[in-house]
Amino acid sequence: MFLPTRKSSNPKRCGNWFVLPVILGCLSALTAQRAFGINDCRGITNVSDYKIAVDDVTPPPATGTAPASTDIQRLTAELQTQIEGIAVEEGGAIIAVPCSGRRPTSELDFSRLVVETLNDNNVVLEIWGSFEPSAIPATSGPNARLQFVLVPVRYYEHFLNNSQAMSGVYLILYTPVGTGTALALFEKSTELRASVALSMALKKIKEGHNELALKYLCKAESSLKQQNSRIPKPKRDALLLYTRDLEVLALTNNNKTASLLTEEAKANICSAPVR
Amino acid sequence: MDAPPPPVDPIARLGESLRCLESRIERLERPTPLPEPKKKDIWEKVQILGSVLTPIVAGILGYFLITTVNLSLQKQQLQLSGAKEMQGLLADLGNPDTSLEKAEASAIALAAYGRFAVVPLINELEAKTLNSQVAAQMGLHAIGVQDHDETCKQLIKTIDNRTKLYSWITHRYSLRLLGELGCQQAIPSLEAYKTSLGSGTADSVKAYAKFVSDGNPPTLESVNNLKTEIDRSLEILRAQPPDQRASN
Repeated sequence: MFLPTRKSSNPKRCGNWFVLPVILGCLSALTAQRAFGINDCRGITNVSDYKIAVDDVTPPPATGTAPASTDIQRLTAELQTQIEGIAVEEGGAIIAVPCSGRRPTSELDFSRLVVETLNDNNVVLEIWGSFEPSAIPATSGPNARLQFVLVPVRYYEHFLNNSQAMSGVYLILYTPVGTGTALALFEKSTELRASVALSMALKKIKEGHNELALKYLCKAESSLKQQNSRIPKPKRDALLLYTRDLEVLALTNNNKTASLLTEEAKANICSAPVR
Repeated sequence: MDAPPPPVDPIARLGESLRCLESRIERLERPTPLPEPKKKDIWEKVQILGSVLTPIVAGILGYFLITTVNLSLQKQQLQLSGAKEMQGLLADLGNPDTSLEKAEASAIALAAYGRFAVVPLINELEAKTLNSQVAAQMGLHAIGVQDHDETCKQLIKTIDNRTKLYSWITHRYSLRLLGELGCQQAIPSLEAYKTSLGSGTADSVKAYAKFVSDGNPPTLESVNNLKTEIDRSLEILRAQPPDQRASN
């Protein structure tokens, strides 16, 4: 298995020894070509809290309407502010982990093994942003793209239950209208709260904390129903349906019948703080 | 009065003496029969056999001793040179700045070192970076195919450990690999591990948590995922045809 040393080299075995350097060469060539791939995120495995991984915001491919670096910085800052806000609302139950240098390109970067590792390390959401050129560059600035993965949803529903409807990866496009900017739209959005709440609800059901899961589901449902939600309607409907399914599951696990849950009882559950 | 003895013929006496002498000479000249050979006893035989066999046995023993010592020395040399050569790849694998693709390539390259890379890769499962955890699984998969027995042995040792040396995540990957690599000898350990997971109550999760490292404590979710992993592995192993079981 090892490379031959000067003493041990045997002309008859040279053919075998030749294979390993060739394999190593091919591997390094492969690596060199794809070195830009998904980087690691420090800080995810160090703590056991629930985490939101906040990846880099990336500029679009070079075009005439490229966003200024200040746009990227503003979107990054806004993303971090929103996530920090969610962390504060959760009373420290969830922490934001900035993943500098991590730039996923699509849902293909989130294979089963990757998502499983993230889920095992209590990552509930991973989010990254990018800019893309505007369709009418003369009148409006670039569009902001936000992509996020609901880690537990992708793991349990997409990979374990083979659900095609619940891929767990969502893309939201903030297209500025008139004089507004993409950032202004993002500031008003509620998608992140809905996504975090839904992921947390699923985690809590899996951990057997069904009461807590119901509270998170309330949050998710109310956020998803808001008019300013920018998740495309078919996906939003699928998420609402899924929220209700989880509600039934949490109630059943708690030996309660979903149909017997009155609106008043549900309102009480929803009004209680999530702790 | 007795009659006087008859006179003896001196010639007859001389003839008699001559015959007597001839017969004695004839007897003396006759070849003496060889004495009956004395039979050797068992002890003498053993002594002779021993004197013949001692150098042969000593030679064979010496040969085996030298071969064993040489093999052991060569093995240590290989391990040392392997460790030096693997160092760079392991550094790449554990580097937080390494992309997933590069970490996977390093893990597969490490797998080329066979059994010597099994323990380092198991340690990488325990690593503090996500990419190395993912990549190490791929590396162990690759070694498990070429050095099946050693990989199975080390993975069994990993799941049998109850001294908080490994996290539940490392145990999870090991439980999975034992099934996928067809490690038949792991069945008792898998069953014992399932027993250690308990019935899924809060207390049983706490009891199980005492076996694994403290970094990322197990929850009911983790315990259920571990049970699923064990059931899957046992199902794979029990479904193997008998001829494949024997070869494993």
